[in-house]
Amino acid sequence: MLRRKLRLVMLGVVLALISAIMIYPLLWTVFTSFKTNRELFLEPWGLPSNPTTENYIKALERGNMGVAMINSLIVSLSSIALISLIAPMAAYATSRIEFRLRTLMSNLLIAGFFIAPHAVLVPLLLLLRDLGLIDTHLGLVLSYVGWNLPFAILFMKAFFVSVPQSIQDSAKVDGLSNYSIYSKIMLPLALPTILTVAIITFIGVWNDFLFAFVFLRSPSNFTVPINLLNFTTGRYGNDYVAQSAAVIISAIPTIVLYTVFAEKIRRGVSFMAFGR
Amino acid sequence: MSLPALIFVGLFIFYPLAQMFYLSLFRWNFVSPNLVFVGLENFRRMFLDDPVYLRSLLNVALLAGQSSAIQIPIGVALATIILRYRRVGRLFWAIIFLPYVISSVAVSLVWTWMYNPYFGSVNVFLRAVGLGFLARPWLGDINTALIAIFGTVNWIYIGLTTTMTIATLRSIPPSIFESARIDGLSGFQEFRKITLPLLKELIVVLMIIDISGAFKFFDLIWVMTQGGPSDTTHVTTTWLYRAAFRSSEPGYGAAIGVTVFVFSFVIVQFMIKVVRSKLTR
Repeated sequence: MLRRKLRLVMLGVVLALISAIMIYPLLWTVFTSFKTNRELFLEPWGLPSNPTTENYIKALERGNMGVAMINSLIVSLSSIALISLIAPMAAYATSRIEFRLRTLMSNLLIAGFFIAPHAVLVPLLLLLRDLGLIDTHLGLVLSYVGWNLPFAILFMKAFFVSVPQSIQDSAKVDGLSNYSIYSKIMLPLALPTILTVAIITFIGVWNDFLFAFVFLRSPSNFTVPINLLNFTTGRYGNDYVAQSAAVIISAIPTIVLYTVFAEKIRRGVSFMAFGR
Repeated sequence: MSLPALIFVGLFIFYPLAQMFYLSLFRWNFVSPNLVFVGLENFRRMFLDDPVYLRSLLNVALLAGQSSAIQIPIGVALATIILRYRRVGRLFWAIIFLPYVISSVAVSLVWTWMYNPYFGSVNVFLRAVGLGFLARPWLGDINTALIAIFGTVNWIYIGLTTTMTIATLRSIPPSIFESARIDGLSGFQEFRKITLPLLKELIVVLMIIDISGAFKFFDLIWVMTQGGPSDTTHVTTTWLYRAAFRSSEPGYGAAIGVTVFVFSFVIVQFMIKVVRSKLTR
């Protein structure tokens, strides 16, 4: 009995220690964002003695974070809107409608899931250049849609395969076309799954650095991650407390999403392991 | 109905992919109207004349290796604990998964500050406990930069590994655990007899994710070290970016892209086809 209790206590200590390591760097950044730079160097561990919101105002205005947040919102929402429209259709067609070359079509749509977008950075940039879409939100959105579709389709297919065949058969007997079956019956059933895909994609696009870094040029178009980097390497390179505020601002939307949709997000992310 | 998706995927994935193979055979500088055909010269240079490229391959291997060796055992242990003590486990799970939803740039900045030589918590802590002689500019020191990066990588991805393990364990019917408990198996025996065999396939899947993830690694290294000090922390993707966009050699960049594609694809297919089928047979 005593040994059992001792084991439990030890387990508790280990879990508390791991939690502390996980949460400490984030908490430190929150505290730092309310300090002055002088205080940061003199008291790197202390609580802010005279908490100031000045860093947040600086990050939003001079640090361009306000503009970047709006840009990221535009880009992320446009991307998930297009994906939510296109992916369920393709997933439904390739899992529930019989047509020639269906397997080939399905494989082509999913293959991108196994390819690193980094490999094709050069030709992708040239493509956007030919389309006249360098340094535009449209070019960024189209690239995000293209590269996020494979996962979205894979995830949606798993759902459509699980819908009982009898539902589709009785709709056919009632004389509905493939398209009406999709829009009147399947789409409403798929809404919760579409929401999961939309949330996962939103977080992915909101956090993406690579495409924005390569395709965007002007700060007025910057999304949040590239603007963060720009803020820390530019004129305010030594203003660590303002940078801390910018980091906190940048993380708020995804942390809010995570607290509301934790279960959906974890399920969607785990699927990446079992989707293959 | 799958046509819109096909257009997107074709234009933004397959067309650039094909062009990557084509461009890899040329020398070019983005602006000149004529591309110089050089055959396989870019590949020869990569493997025979570019030590940083070879170093980046080694770093990718180290990254994948250490991720598997550290994250998988810890992730499996944490997953079993979370499932056994559900009430505390829920909160703990929420905490360890948190870094994964924050952008890699934000997380990299936070850890750059943790490793800062002056106000960074790592050095402040070492000095506080009397180990001040160990304090150093972690990311600027050629001996510790890569290790410091690995530390951050594990901090980000441990929650993901744990979550995937929990999803696998949950797919095991609870009746198996109940009957094991009735048979009087201890926690450790239960783990070894029931959980571990079922985890074997998951472990292979996690290794596949670690390997393909290492070839997709970019943000963290670019923000924390830009491949430095002395080009010792490059991974293939950061070196590709440098070659293509900083040195304006898109042909060479495309050739590095070809190797990233081939290596990650070949290794992953090998893992899926050979290792996984051997395990499940």
